[in-house]
Amino acid sequence: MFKTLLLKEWKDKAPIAAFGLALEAIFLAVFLIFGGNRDLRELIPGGFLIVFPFIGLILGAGAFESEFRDGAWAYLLSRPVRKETVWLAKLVAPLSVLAGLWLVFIGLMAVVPGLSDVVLSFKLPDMLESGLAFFPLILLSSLFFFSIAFSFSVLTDKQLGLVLGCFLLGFVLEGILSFFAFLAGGREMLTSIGRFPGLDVFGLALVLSSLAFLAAALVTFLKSDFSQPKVKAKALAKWCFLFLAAAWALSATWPALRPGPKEEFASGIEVAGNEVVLSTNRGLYRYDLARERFKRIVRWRSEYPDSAVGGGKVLYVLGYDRPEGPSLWVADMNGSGKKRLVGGGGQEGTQVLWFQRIRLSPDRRTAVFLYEEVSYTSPRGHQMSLASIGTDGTGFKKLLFGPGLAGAGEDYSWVGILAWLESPDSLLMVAGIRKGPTVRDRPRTVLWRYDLSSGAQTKLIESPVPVSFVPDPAAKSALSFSRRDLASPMEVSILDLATGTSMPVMTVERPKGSLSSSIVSPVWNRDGDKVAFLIRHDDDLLTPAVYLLKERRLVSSDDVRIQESRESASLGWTADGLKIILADPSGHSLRITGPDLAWKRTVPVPTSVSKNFAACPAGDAVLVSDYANVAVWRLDLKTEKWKKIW
Amino acid sequence: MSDLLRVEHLSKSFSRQAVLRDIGFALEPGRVYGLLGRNGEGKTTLIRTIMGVIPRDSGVISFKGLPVTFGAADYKQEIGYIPEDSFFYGGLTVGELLSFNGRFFHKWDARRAADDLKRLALDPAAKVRTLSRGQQLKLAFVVALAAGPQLFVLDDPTSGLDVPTRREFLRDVIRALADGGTAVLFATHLVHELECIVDHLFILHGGRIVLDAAFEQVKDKARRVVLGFDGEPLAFPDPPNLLVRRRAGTDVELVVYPWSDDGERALRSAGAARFDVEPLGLEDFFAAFVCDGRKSRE
Repeated sequence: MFKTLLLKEWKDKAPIAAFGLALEAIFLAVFLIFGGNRDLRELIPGGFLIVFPFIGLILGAGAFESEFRDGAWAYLLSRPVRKETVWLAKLVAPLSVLAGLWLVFIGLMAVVPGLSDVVLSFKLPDMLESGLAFFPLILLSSLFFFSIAFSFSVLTDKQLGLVLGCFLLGFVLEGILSFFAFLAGGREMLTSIGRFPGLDVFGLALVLSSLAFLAAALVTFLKSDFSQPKVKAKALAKWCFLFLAAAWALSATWPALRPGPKEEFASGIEVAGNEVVLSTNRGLYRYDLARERFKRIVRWRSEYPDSAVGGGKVLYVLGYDRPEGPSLWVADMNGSGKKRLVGGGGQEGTQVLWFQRIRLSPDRRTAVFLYEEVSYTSPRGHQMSLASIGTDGTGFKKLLFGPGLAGAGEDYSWVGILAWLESPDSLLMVAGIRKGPTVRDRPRTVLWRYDLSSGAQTKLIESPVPVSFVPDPAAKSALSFSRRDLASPMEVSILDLATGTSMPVMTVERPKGSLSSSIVSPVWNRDGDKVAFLIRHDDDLLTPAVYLLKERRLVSSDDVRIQESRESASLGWTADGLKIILADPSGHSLRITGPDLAWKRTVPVPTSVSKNFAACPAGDAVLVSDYANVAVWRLDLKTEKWKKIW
Repeated sequence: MSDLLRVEHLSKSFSRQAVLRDIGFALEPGRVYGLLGRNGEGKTTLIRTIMGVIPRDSGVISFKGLPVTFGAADYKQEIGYIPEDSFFYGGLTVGELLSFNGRFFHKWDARRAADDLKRLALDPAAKVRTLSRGQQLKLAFVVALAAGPQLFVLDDPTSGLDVPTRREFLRDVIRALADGGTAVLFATHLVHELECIVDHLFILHGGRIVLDAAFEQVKDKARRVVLGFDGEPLAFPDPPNLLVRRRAGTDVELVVYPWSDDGERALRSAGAARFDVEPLGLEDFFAAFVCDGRKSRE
């Protein structure tokens, strides 16, 4: 019966289908003739695509035309066929004609050289909605306008009035929806199909609104008395209102419901003080070593999350995806006591763009951070600042840093907070200061101590070349490495942070790559008297080395050689400081050795772990982060048994 | 005999104005039911409600003992329906229309449809919208009969037919259908047409079924009584079951249903010089029920 009804409806719609095909043929002819004219070439598709919503309107408006024109309502409804079937045939026939016309047009785009480029790249003029991709908008709009006209076609056969009225209604509704999408998308304008953050909300709202109109038409058709136009109109209005409200509510909640990107590790497993944490793009997890359980303590959506953990507290940044901008938060390590400290649209006319280098003081009472702020009021512009705030949310203070460090015409290339020094009010800071604006002007490096209470800043080191510093956990010493230029040997030394004196460790004669790729994974033991690192000898050959501060002795071993391909090797100390764990991706194993690098043992990692993994000793175990598979494995160092824990 | 169609407590209103109130009746196979009512009394509404064309406010409709909902479709396989107005899709040809209908009905008799077309001189190639009102009605009969219905519902359709065709349908087709076991519900305001074919009468008035009786009973028990007085009519009490009382000069005319011996005794003692009793025709009976107003006074 459905087929019978469908055939009859298709026959009724044949003239409109023919009309649409004729328009497409005319369009093709015009494109082939005038396609060479650059101005016309851009206007032709835009002008033509507008036809589709109108065809949608005409098809929708004519859905019940024959029943009105021929007085055939009673005939149709007294046939032994369910009303749902009738409605479906009424819907499918014109919709398939519209889809068919679209398919023909898309087919033309596929076979006519140059057509798809012109159509897909066509954008509305800047005066309207700058850069909004037109093709998908028109595609959705034709469905939207069709649905509106289809739903109202159960009320009247006045085709012209129906088409015009539904066009106006659709136009107004699209305006309202785009405004909602603008709000949902972080108040960013419709700038591009890819970048407009509210585009998915707009598209979803259009599709759901279309379904709402169709559903309203269905319920009205099933329940209402065709012989009572006013009753039918009231019923349609009621159902349209209800279904549209539901559709819009669902669209409005979509930003909160939409699935985020697949969960991926941001930094893998890390040990911070006594805490083992895992940072992903969806939040920060705390790992309970005894219970072997992860618990999410902070939820976020960020590809590059920033957090600092220690002393039972966690400092973190939220809200890069929010219109009011990011904000800095603090919470207890069990996830309770969440408190916003700063940012998130606090001050009128300004907005924080980003936070960096967030640090908790050793006593956990103060947070320091770098942040960049944009001011929309006079004086307008961006400003990077160092600031501190109490973890109770009080005492926000902007801090001047590095006065006198940068000379005239110089600028900070980068600034870092390396560590809190022993005193809770002192920071160890480092900056690259560049004389000129180009990358050829290599920045000089300045390391200085910043006493927060007095504001005194004491320069510890100034080097004419870039230097990397890796301070020990107590920030008494730092491993530093630098070189004059890419062809020079690399000098590795230990810097006394109290005095600024430097003690040479070794010279790498032919270092490869940048600073961070020449000395790989430098890591101090907990007591700060040993530092281990990997030396890159060749593009893919690494050997470990350990510097023993008390003995002032460097231990290196060419016997432990790690062939590194694309994946990175890494090092870690066990909590007792007696073992070093080397993650060897090329050997797909963990190398376990002592500080003297004499004793060696190799433990293969499970075969299901990818080569892109890192190892982090924690307690009596080693936790391996498998980045490719987003998995965490635990190796019990006593039994050497593996267990997948994430 | 079991009911083919049963309607119980059916009510329907438009814009809060009740059109049908607590309607109840039953149809049995093989009988012709006349549904009489003045224009606007709700005959079409009642039939459309039965056919599931419009929803009912309340009440139960059962077909072959099974209740049918507003959206039900299967029971319509057994019903041939001819409405009062223009009906079909005008863009189809007669042949296309028959083919279109044939796909809906399981018992569709294409040969009978073709024969009927020929007999009624309808051109299969003609567009439906080019047919006259009478031809469209003939086509409606062809469509309804080819479906082999157990219930045939006609909503006042014959006014558009010429006299020979109307008579042919009434006497031959409808009677033949009923004799073959089909129940026929015939709504009309052309009351006289029913007299030759009807078995049972319903009169719809004020939204209610005010008469539900076998036509034989109506013929037997409906009487016009004329009391003729030599001068000013004497006062006398209304007889039982009086429908109409009307004065014409020195005569008093009464319509009584059902006529009874008690009524006759009461009227004969009214002191009239003349006393005439005669059976009442269906048209007069219907008029007495709904048109003249019941118990109108001198």
